[in-house]
Amino acid sequence: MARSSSKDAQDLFRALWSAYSATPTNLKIIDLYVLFAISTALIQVAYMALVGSFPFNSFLSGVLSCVGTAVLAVCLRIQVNKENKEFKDLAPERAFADFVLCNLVLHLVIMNFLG
Amino acid sequence: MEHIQQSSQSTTEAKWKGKATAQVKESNAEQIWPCIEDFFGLDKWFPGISTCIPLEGISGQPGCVRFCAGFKTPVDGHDKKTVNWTKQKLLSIDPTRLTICYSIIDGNVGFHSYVSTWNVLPKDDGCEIEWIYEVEPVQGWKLELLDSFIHNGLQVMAQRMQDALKTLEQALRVEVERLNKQSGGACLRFCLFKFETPRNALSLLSLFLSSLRSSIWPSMAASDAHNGASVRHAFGSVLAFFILLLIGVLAFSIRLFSVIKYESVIHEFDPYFNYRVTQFLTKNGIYDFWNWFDDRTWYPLGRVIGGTVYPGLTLTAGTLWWILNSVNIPLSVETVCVFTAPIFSAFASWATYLLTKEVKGVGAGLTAAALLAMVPSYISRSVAGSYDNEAVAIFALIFTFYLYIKTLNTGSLFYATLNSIAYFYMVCSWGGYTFIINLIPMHVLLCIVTGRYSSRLYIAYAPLVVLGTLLASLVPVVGFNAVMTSEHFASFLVFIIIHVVALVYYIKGILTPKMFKVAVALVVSVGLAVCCAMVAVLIAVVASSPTKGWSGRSLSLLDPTYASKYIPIIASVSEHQPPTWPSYFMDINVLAFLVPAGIIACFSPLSDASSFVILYIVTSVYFSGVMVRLMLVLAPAACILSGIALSQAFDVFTGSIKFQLPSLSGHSHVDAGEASSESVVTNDSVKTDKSEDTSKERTSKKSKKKEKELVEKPLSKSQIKKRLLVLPLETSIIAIILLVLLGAFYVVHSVWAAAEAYSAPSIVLTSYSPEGGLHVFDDFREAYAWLSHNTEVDDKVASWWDYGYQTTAMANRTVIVDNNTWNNTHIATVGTAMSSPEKAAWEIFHSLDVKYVLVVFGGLVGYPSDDINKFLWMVRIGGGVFPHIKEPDYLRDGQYRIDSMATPTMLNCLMYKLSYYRFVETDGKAFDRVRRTEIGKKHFKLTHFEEVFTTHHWMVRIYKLKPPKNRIRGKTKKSKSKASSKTASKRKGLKRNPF
Repeated sequence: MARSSSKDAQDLFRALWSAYSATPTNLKIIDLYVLFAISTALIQVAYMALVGSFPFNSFLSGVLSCVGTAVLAVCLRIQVNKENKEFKDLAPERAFADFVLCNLVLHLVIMNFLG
Repeated sequence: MEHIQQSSQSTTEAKWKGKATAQVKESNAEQIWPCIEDFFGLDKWFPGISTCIPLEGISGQPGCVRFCAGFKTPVDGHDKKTVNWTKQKLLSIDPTRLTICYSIIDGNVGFHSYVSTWNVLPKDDGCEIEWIYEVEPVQGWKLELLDSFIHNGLQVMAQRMQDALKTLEQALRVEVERLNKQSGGACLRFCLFKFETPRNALSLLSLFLSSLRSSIWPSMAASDAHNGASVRHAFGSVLAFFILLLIGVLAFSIRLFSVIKYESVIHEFDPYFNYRVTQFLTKNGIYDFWNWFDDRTWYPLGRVIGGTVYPGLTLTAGTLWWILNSVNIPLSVETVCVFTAPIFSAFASWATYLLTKEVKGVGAGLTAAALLAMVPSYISRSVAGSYDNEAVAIFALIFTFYLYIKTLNTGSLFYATLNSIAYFYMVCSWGGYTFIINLIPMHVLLCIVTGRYSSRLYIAYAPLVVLGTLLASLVPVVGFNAVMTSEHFASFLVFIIIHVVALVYYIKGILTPKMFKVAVALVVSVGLAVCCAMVAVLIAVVASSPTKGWSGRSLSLLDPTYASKYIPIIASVSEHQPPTWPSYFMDINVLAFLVPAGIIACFSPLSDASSFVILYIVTSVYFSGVMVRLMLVLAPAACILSGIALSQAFDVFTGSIKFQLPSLSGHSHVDAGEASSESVVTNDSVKTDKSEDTSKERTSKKSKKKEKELVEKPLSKSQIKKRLLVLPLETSIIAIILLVLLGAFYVVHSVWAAAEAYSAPSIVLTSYSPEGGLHVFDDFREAYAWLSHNTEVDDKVASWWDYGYQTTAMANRTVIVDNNTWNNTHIATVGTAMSSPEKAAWEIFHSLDVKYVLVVFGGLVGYPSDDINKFLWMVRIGGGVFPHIKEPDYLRDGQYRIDSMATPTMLNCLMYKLSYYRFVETDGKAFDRVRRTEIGKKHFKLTHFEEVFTTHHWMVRIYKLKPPKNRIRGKTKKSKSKASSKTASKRKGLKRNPF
């Protein structure tokens, strides 16, 4: 039972890997960016857990800026993904412009909130 | 689309499938689409079809059936005598994606389970029509034959459409050139001349409108201004624009009754505070406003206004005032404040239009906007002068919902950004923003649970949570509450859930189904553990958060009995009480009956947007049932749903009228097609018989009517068949009349509510004497003016908290408590003073440095909301903090009374004395017109207070605290004499009581 499930898991990861390696490079770059943002957020949370959350607005803006960046990048990834039928009318340039606008708003707010 | 899948599964044989495409070079997709959309007009395009007539339903509505006959098929010999025919049913149509899907349900060419889909695909140069078809193998045909048949047919169709559009374009271009030759001055003459031929006039009008549209939306109009369909669209959108303009004017002007009937003043209590804050803002600027510590309220505590006020309304009005002044329109701040609410209600009705348009189209949007413009519930909070948070907050609420739905429908990150900014404005404006941040997650959860997750949902929700939370914490009054209190946790929880779901969908997309099953098995076991850990962490966070859960107002929403049990200060406000049934009828009127119909209309078909509206109405009905104030949140939802219901009903009724009227006139035309459709009838005549049977079982009247129709039956079978699917002409006409009557009733009620019920500013009162004369009671302003002219600037005035805002705003004097009930103890202190005997009250007030005490008394003129009627709340709130005040002491056998049966505690408390001091001098009997009784204790003297001012109608009475005696010897003497005088007055009162 355990062996078969571990074999399944191996198969699964292999299938996942092969499926993922077929994705276009630009999407992979976005994925890396998302991963980076999330790991930064995690580092901040870990730091908060160790040191304390005293300037709470700094902590909050730091974590939320990372999470926000990640979320927006995921949105961009959804929109520029060619396999996604829902957004086939949307030009990648338009998607990127929206992404930049949203990021601009996000980071203006962050700067304001940083205190 | 589901239909196709079902039929393809049911066949065991492999179906024939194919695809044909045709390029259209000179027309774009939007221009071609109306030709495709015209389901009953196939004979115009497809080669060889001589007849195409409607059999059932309305063109363009799924389920309608057309009858096509006369075409030649490749297998026909030259000697074929019979006519080829098919019946085709429209399965689905999507004007946004430009796709139409139909099937052949009957025919004599041997096509079985034939389903085809036409797509119009936009291309860089023109567009492409795509015809995808599948059919069970047809006897005597080959797949190649079918392919070539459809391919050739489609090419001809495309060519014909293109030719027709070109003709139209040329005709219009000539017309435009002719128009351009006319000079501006000659235009009118030209129009007049043109109107001699009505047809020309019409085309001219539509041309004019399309050019108007091109000036409004130049980018849109550039390509397709000269197109027939766009002319029709242009006409519709210009009409909609003017209707919206009128709705805005209506929304604005219906709220002006208060200005016309009374004057341009700020109303009630809270608006005075907002007005004062706006004044401060315009005078001192935004930075001083944020740091404003107000020492004129809550003496001696003061209040940090900048950090405890929702700044949206003030900033809005301040900006308006600033803009007006910078363009040299010198309006006073007060005027701007008075008219802010009507302006924003016009905006709110436009936002309602946008929201409903996203849900159910333009017609429903316009109806909903018109309904919202005059819904009494909203009028009650937004008449001119009602300068309160709700005035702008309702607009913000609807607009946020609109942007959410818009994002959900388009999946655009741009709208998501706008959505969070609108949410920010809502957070700025009103505490009701928690409704949004809980409703939207609920909707997202609903979508996920019902399997409607899409990446558009992710884009609509995830950025909103992050940006919205950050923006909300920028507002000082919310601050860290945006991440610390339980009101917001639902959104974070759903934020996590949507990420998990998004990941699952993504993995499902890239894996094969078999591998996905393996993955599910693996993840479920691991994921459950993680989820449990998450929930545990979340609960821990909730338990350890500083507020330990929910704030009082939110708790009283979830548990309606909470406030009355634990927080008298919330329960004491009349607008926090649960509403009664009549108040529903008063506030939303006929909408209450239309809402269920709207809900049903939302279910067919259920989309993401309509499910949101349903969720909105359900939750808001609950909240309105808890607090009468939240009826305001219900009103937009009720308007939207009623708008949908009304517009759908009108669609059905006018549709069936339109369907029948031409068929009566064009009788011969229908007959021509009937000869060939004889064999078609058999199927449907069974249906006719069935419905006859059922109708005969009903009342005799109806069966008689049916018999009449039976006589007609041999004349035109097809007409009766059609009539079965649409409503009878008479019924639909009567129904339309009834609906219009209903609408008229609503309008009459709303205007009445706006003019009579909700326009009173409550600081100026009027009454009509029996002779018909108008009497104005302007006592409040009289009293405040007296205070501001006759007292020192730094004097402190004590009153019950209701009048705090007005006193600071109008009299500019420091108050002890006001309508912002942030410090319960302080209010309880004032309540205790009011319920204590004179001496104890004097001591309390003196310790608070109070110089004047203000009471509101309605006994002389019958003004019911005076301090005596509010007195029990003072006792309760006071007793909640200072236990020596006990409510039963003021009640005789559980009854609150002020006549001779009243308890001595009641008759000796300060409120009683200040209200009824010298009251007996007015009519000799001291008859209280509000309580409808003679008061219990008529003759008494005040020992520690002296009357300094009483207004014209005795509605406001102001007393001054007597200064303390500073010599010890004198004090003891004085107190002795006081005691004696007190007992004397008591004795007097007791003696007089029997009379």
